[in-house]
Amino acid sequence: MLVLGMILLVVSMVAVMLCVVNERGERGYDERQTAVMGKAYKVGFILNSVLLLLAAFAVELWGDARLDPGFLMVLVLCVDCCAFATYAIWHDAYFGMRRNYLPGVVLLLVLGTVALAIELPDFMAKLAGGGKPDVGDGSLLINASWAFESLVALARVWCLRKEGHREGVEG
Amino acid sequence: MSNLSMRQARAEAGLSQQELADAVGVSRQTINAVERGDYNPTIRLCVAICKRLGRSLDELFWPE
Repeated sequence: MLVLGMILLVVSMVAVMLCVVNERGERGYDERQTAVMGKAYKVGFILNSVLLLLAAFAVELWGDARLDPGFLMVLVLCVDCCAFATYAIWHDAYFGMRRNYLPGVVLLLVLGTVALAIELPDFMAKLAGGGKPDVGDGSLLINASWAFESLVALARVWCLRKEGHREGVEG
Repeated sequence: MSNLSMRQARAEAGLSQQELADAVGVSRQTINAVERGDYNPTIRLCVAICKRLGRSLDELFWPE
């Protein structure tokens, strides 16, 4: 199951890279989006600093007996990346000036959800058996992050379409 | 502070936000943000919008 999850993770990454390559030559980010991305990086950096401090404190307090530093590292990275992506997505600065990023978002959501469905039962069984999460479970976090961000993107698309409809009515 | 002058000029030119955005090379959300007053565009973008809408900088971007 872990191997299958890792394979799905690699497939997802290839899909993302293909989407990026496919967009070469199209318009990139405009000035507002570039400014928003800068703020998003700031949010991610500050959150990263705080979480690393908390993670170091937690490992110091509880030690390796209850927390695997490798898993904590992946968790911190995932939370930072999610914060950055959520900020950028919600301020319409993540996808550049492409109009139709919906297929890529749906693909990532499907891949992330399928990977989660495969990996989650094993992870829960491991926890129930008294095991602790380790760095190998990081792929679960990464797939969960992608699924979450895809949902954020879909929610934003829905809001934008509502906004677009109002614009059409107002002329 | 929303930019009603720009919204009115765009409407008089018969352009949607997307069409104006395509003409000046930005995203539709950026045009929307400029009209709502949520984003202060650079001079370069202001000039591009004025050229497309056929108005002066004073007409579209001078605070009232």
